[in-house]
Parts: sequence; structure tokens; C-alpha cells
Amino acid sequence: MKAMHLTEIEIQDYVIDAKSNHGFSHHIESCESCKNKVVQYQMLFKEIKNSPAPIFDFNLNEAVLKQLPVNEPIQVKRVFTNYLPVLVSIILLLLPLYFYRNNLLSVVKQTPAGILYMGIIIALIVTVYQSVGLSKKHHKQMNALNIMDGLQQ
Amino acid sequence: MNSETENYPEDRSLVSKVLGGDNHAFGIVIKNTEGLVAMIVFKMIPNAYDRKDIAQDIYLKAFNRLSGFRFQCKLSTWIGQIAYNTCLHYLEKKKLVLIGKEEDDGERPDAWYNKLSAALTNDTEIILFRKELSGILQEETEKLPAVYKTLISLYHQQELSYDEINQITGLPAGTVKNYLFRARKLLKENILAKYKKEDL
Repeated sequence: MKAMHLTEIEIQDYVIDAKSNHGFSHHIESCESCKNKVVQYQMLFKEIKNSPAPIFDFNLNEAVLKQLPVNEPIQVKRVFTNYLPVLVSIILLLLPLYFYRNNLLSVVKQTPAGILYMGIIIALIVTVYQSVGLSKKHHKQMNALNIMDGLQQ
Repeated sequence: MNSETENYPEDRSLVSKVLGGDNHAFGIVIKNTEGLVAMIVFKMIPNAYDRKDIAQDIYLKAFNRLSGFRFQCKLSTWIGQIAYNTCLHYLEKKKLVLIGKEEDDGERPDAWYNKLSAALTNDTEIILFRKELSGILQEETEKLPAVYKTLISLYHQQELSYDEINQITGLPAGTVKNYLFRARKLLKENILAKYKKEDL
């Protein structure tokens, strides 16, 4: 049994979660001051719970639905706007490769195999290294954006 | 599809309908979440005129971002999160106080309890006392800082868990508990002070 008066936080915990054994019950039963505080919080919580819930004084449903685009599937719109720039970029990259393919092939053929393989290996290592770096940076930026978004929404 | 996704089949069905262009389904989303949104907006936005615009803004944001919703929480919690952040942004823009200064920690006389003890002898007195308490509670709740009264309403009226409140507000669970403790204490002390004033 606790001999000293309960702290405010202990009293709140006791009132919120009366079923748990906090070990305070004996003290509360015998201490008028702590019992008073328990009753105060019990009444306060009960009154808060029974307070009337606020309601909007206008038809929110109607007001919002009026502003929505009519029957336009969002996913199709999003897929189009999100992936179109990527598709255009890939096409723009592939176009010069296609038009200069003969020149590129002759360059590859004239290059000694050792240098070619070394070049490919170095390019792969640099690509992997850059990708890891980019991925880390992306995650960091996304986390920062999420925090900012949380503040700015 | 992860296990979290499978937890909210109704939400999934509604979201899928809305994304397919069914605006009526979004009307159901509004109907299901209007209570929570109203609670947040009323507690955080002091200006009644602004509430109307903010409430609509919340749902338009939710509609536009719906394709990005990943069912990591309930749809209502996600919309609550948008509501809270929209209100927070409004308060920051208007430079309004989010969390005010604490009152002194001194013990106050138990006038409230004494009044209650006296009132318990008579039924009519009890009804009058509760009516009076209800009025004072509303008045004093309104005086609390925006974040405090929102947390109190979410926890005690909407009966959300600490986790859900954490998801809505983005505040760490420890901070939510701490703010709730301070808010309840402040509210109780303000009500006691009000009774003391009335007794004098």
C-alpha cells in the first residue's frame, strides 16, 4: 500500500484504467484527499464523454461532392500523368541509339576486348555505387518531405 | 497485399469505388468520417466562418490523394490525419497558439468536490450541478490550447487509442500521453478555479 499521496499522473492513470491493479486502491479508500481527486477526474471524464459532439451547420457532403470531377476514374488519370514523362524520356534516350547504331557498333568492334570488359565492369560498379547513393538520398528526402507534408497539409 | 491491407476490407471497397469514378462512394466516406473531422475542426479552428472552407478543403485533399492511400491505417484515421494537418497549417499561418503556457502547479481548494458532496443529498441539486458542470466544462474546454482540446476530444469523446491519435496527429505516443495528462490537469484546475471564483 502506498503511504504518500498519489501524484496527479497516478490519479489520472487510476481513473482511466480502473481495472488494472495499480496498487493504489487501499490508499485511495483511506485517503480523503486522493479520493476527492479521483472523484473529480471521474466526473470530468464522464462529462467530457457526454459532451455534445460538434456538427457542421451546412451540408458538407453536398458541398464537397459538387466540387468533385464527374465520374472520372482517378487511377487512369494518375497513371497517365505519372508515367507519361518517364515514357517520353526513355524514347528520347533510345532515339539517338537507334539512329547511330552502326557507328556505335563499329566503335565497340574496334575496341580491344580487355578494355571493353574493363569499361563494362567499371561502368557497372559506378552504376551500382551511384544507385545505392541515389536510393539513400531519395529515402532521406522522402522522409523529410513526409515531415514537411505533415506540417504543411 | 500485406496483412494490414486485409484488415480494412470496407475501406478497400470504398476506396476502389471512388478511384473508379464513383463519387457517391466518396459521399459515404464523408458520411462515415464527418464526425471525426468535425471534432478536429471545431476544436482547432476558433473562427466559425473558416471552418466551412477548411472542412471542404480537407475532403478535397483526401479525394485528390486517395490513390496514394496505402491502407497502413483505417481510412478514417488517414482522413483525420489530413484534417489535423490542415488545421495545424491554418493555425501556423494565422500564428495562433497551439500549446499555451501552463498555469501554476499550486494546489487549489476542492470547492468542486465540496459542492458535489453537498449536492449529493438532493436529486434536483445533482441535476442542476451536472448542468452547471457541463456548461463550465464546455466553456473551460474552449479556453484550452487547440492541441490540448483536440487530444482530449479524440481520446475521451471519440475514444481513439493512443496509437490512432499518434497516427492522426503525428505526435509521438509519449508526447500524446504527456499532453493529455497536462490538458486534463489544466482543465480540472481551471474548473476548480471557476468554482472557487463563484463561491467567493
